[in-house]
Amino acid sequence: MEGKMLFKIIYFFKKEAFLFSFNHVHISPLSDIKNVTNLQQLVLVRTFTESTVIDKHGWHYERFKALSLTNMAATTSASNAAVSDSQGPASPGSSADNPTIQYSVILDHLIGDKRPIKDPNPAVLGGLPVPPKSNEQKMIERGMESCAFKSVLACVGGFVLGGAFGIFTAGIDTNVGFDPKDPLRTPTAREVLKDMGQRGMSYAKNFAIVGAMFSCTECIIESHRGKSDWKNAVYSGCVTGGAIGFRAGLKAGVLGCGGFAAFSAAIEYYLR
Amino acid sequence: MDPMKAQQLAAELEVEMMADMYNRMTNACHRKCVPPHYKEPELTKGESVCLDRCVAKYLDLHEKLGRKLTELSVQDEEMMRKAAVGSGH
Repeated sequence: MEGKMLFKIIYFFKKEAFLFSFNHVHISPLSDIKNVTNLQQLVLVRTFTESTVIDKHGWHYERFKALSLTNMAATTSASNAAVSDSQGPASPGSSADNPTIQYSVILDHLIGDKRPIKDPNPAVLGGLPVPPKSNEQKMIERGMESCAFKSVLACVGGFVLGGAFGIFTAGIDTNVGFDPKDPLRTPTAREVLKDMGQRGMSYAKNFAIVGAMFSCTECIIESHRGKSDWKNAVYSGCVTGGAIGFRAGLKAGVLGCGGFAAFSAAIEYYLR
Repeated sequence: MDPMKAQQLAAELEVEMMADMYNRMTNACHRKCVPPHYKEPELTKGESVCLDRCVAKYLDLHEKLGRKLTELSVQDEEMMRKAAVGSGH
């Protein structure tokens, strides 16, 4: 049966169903059969695109170059209307080659189980040619981006900064070596150094803990949200401040959350 | 259809299909995951996490839709074959 070839491919994409019927070139039975070499089939192969956001009509039309076969015995589809029944035999050499294209078989080779496994090299696929990273390099990079590494980094940094800060303020705000009997006595060097050391250590520990907590929660929240903006810092500031203040009661916790979150927001505003 | 022929056809189409899919995927995931604030040249943690998830979802969906399409093609071909047999030639 020669005539219109009707391909109906039904796509079911989430809750939408696209019904497309594709009418092919009509070959009149009276035309010169030898000249029917330019019979070509267009197939709709829909690759996935985000229908709501990006590209509602991402249709990709593929031309089957190999289908310039003259012997295409058309089969009429029974389901849809308007199939013109034209008489006339198919074509001269229809015996040997397979006239119809079974899309399911081709799709199996393209998308389904029989597809060849290839290494996706961006140079082949259309991107920029990039030298492949070794496994060790990937592992190192993954480690450096991980939350644990970041919080350790913040902890160490906080320790150093806290130590410096503590030592510095010990010199300013001194309350060491105070003898009630002799208020004007200057403290000895040993007392001063000891005080500086203690103060520096206590500040350092506090800063280290706060830094580690803040960095850890910020990294976790950022990983969960999948976005990178100022809100991550605010949320993690609230969590950190709340955790610190919670030890002194609920109200102190809430106050700590608000205060630290505001502080974080100010820093983020300055940084961005 | 002859499986060899199908394989040849698929091989011809494959490169184009993969390139197209790669382009669409990078466009879609870039638009979804990387907001146009270019303060620093490297991907932040949030962005790289988002890109991982986007690519995984995209490929998963591509495969699922492909299987569904194959299924429907098979049904379609059955129908057409029955019609051809039924109407006779």
